Amino acid sequence: MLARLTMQTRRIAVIALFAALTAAGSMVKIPLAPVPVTLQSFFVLLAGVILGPRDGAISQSVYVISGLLGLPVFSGGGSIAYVMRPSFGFLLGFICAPYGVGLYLKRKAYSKIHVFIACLIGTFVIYLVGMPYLALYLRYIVQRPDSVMFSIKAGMLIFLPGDMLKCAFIAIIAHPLTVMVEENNGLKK
Amino acid sequence: MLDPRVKLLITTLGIGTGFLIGSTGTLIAFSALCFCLTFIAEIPVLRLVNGLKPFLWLFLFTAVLHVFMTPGDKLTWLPYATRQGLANGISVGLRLVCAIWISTIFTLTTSPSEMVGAMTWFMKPLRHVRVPVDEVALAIMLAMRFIPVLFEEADRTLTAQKARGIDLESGGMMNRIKSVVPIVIPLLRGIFRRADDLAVALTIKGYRPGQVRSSMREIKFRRMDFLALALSTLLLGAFLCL
Repeated sequence: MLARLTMQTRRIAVIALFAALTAAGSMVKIPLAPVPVTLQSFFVLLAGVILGPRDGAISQSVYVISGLLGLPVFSGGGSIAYVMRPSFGFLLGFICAPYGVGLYLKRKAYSKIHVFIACLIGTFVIYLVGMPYLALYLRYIVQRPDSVMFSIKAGMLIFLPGDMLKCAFIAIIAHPLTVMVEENNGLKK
Repeated sequence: MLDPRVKLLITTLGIGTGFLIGSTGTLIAFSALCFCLTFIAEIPVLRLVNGLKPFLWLFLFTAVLHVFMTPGDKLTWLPYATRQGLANGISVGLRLVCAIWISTIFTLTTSPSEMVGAMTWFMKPLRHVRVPVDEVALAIMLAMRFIPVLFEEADRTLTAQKARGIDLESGGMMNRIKSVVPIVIPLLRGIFRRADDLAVALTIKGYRPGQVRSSMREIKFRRMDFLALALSTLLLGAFLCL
């Protein structure tokens, strides 16, 4: 009885845990060339791999909502005003990315390659949501005429090497982690 | 103390008004009002200025680009700048500053649990389309509690692995990445265990998923809230009509 009741509560606790991990990830900067990489998107993708599409997306919504409510979880603080930053689109992408990752992995048999591909899909989803926001913001609020090229360069190209590394790293640690989570928490993907 | 729901509503309306105001003159009056709010809320101005910091460069950049990129009558005292551009730059800059000013006042005068309470109330209708509103609310509170735990656990794992002689500094790129694995896995294992403990504790203390929860501090809509809401709606409406 207790075990069955705790299952559901465990799910919520792990969702909260991943929201907290993403928050912590925004505070950890790794100095890699050419730009410092934060661990944020690493945990976003990991949420998709470990929690699956629905819970992964919920965990990242929890992260974004708590930031918008004013808890200092975004890099540089947090308030409703973050909607007005050009990078807010990426935060919206964080909510969608675990969905893509989880959905792809649900249909495939587990292997490192598939985890890697799933993470690439997730990364793609983050940019798919984030880049138009950035470009539109630059075009209509900042009024930069070369907004599309500029956002591709400054918003995507310089981050791609770091993103590849993150995907590869997740592929390495995904298997031991899923095994661990399943036996520890009784969670199903 | 106002009802957090009312505060959230007024904040949103205020930000919206700031963006919809037409003339620069009205906008300056609106900014003055926002500034006065700081003193009513008894917040030190310096703390608010700190809240603006992450946005500062963005605003300056935006305003300056507007000043120089807008076509129109040339200014004599500043090369390339135009009169329309200057007006544009000032109005865009003021709008953004007002929006952040208002939302920072909201953040500084409302406790996190009050904010979560207000958010849950506004999201109630979403329950009908099967959005797990209460789960999200609980998860936000738990996530807040988890952040310090994460750093504590990270510190402990790092120290433990260093004591076992792990080497993070030497070797090539690939080697370094590989040497992170023995830190990440035990770290995640540790924090998953903490999440598990928390779930058990919650269950034992009577938390049942899906059941309606009561709150230690109930939010109540008082006469004061009604007055505040009416007054601010009138005020914001007046700004829009001017």
